[in-house]
Amino acid sequence: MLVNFIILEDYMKEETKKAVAHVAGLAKLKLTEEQLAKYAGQAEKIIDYFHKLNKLDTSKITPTAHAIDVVSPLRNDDVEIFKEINLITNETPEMDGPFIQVPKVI
Amino acid sequence: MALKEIVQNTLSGKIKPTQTAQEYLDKIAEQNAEINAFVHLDQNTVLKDALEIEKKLASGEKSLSLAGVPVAIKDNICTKNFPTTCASKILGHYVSPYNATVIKRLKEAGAVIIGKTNMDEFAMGSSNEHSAYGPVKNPVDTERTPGGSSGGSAAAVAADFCAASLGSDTGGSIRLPASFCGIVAIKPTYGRISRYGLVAFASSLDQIGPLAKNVEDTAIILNVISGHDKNDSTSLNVSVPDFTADLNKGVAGLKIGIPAEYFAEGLDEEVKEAVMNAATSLEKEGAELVNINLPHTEYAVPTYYIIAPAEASANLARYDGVRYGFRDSASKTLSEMYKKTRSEGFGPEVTLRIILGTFVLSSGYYDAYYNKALKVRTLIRNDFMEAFKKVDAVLTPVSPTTAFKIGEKTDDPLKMYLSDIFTIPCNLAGLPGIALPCGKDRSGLPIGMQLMGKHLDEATILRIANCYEKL
Repeated sequence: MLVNFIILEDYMKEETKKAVAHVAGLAKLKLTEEQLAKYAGQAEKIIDYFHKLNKLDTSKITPTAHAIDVVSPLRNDDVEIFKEINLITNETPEMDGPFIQVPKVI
Repeated sequence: MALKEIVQNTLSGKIKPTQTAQEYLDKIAEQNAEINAFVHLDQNTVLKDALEIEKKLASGEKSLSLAGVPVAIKDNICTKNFPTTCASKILGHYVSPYNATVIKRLKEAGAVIIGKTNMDEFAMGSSNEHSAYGPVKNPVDTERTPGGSSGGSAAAVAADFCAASLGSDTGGSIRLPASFCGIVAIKPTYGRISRYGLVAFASSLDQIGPLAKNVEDTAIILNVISGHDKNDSTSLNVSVPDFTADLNKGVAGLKIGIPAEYFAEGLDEEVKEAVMNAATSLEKEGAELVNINLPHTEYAVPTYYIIAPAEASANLARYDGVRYGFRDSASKTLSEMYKKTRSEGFGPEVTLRIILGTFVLSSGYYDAYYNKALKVRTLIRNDFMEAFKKVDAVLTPVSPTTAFKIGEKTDDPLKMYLSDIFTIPCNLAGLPGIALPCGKDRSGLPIGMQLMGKHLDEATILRIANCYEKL
């Protein structure tokens, strides 16, 4: 029984590592093996804690994305010219004339 | 000097804004190294701004409600004259091309922005130990945390490095540091204060709020920075009352709810005693204490730690090294640049929360986690709506403990997350909440109490807080 439990635990850890590696890819994060193990360990514990919510029957409950009931307001589509473009481009790591320079896409 | 006194002395000509600013700058220069409350300071900029206020006063301007008041700003609020880095390597020495609306309003009222304060990176933390600039020390006991994520803003007020400060609160990040440092702070109703220029963490939860030495000063700042802003579509188009008007009305006739779930197992006995004593004091002043239940309180922390990281994972997708901030310069392809920039630029707590947030939104898990959490959020909100049919405000501790030691919880993220257990529900429900001191523990550490009010009823919780403070 103890051997089965250890195998199951190792299996869950590997599954968590795979899940974390997958979402790290989605989030454009590059993790070392050591980081992957660390974050997988932390995430597993926290995600397990999330399962507390399963004690609640929410089948008839409407989700709340915003705490205050406000309909998205509209305004006139008035153009306001931003005159200090240099304050924006000063912050860009690399420019080529008016273009932002980045490494090749492929 | 209290904020009101600075304003009175400035308007009467007794002191000049440049003098006040220099005094605070000198104090910061002498003592900030030990506390590490500030991350960006610039004497020339501060004195130049103070001189502008002097010129306005000399030309006859009399309506500056914050004339000469030095205000410190959390480093996730955009300022044109100081960098805005969110205490993260990924924003490097980023300087915003615009001032946040709250900054504009403070400056129009005559305040002097004294510097930018340290914080947990991207406002993710409860202890100000997750900063690229190093931890902030609690001025009350420098071996302890000031709380987070607005730890620098709270420490700056507590150490008298400024008359007031601004912080941001997504799950308690103004109220917890106020409690740990022994000062006053208010998180307003969601939408009361514009988020334009606040670097987004979790957009349905974030709110800017003032921290100050007393309730009246907090209300004065709230008056200045509140109000609808066309640049923030979530800011509420409602009138702003004078938050100082009802401060001295007392509490006779008010009903204050005491929720059983906030005084249960896990609460430090000294904290419990101090908050219950505060409740009794208010009862003696004429308030009626009403036992209430907020039955879904225990689900608030997992709900929040699903929703907030989910929103954060989307809000932080913009940090890719393309247009601003840190960029990995050795990458050969765009994809490599994104990954290396983000992995090197974000700290470990931010990385963990992006991973959690991306996970709960990902295909196959969205309904089980994110959608589920949104439904539990409804239940938590409904608990408060039911309670507010019977009471005018709810009184609770701010935190289960007083300030903990630096390093005590950094190895266990979940243990750290549980520090927010009493502050999170207020954000989930969009309610206003104020934290103020109500005693000290046997080590001399401040204990904080929290008052939560109905939507848009900051006036009532300020009134109750002021009554208690004056006892």
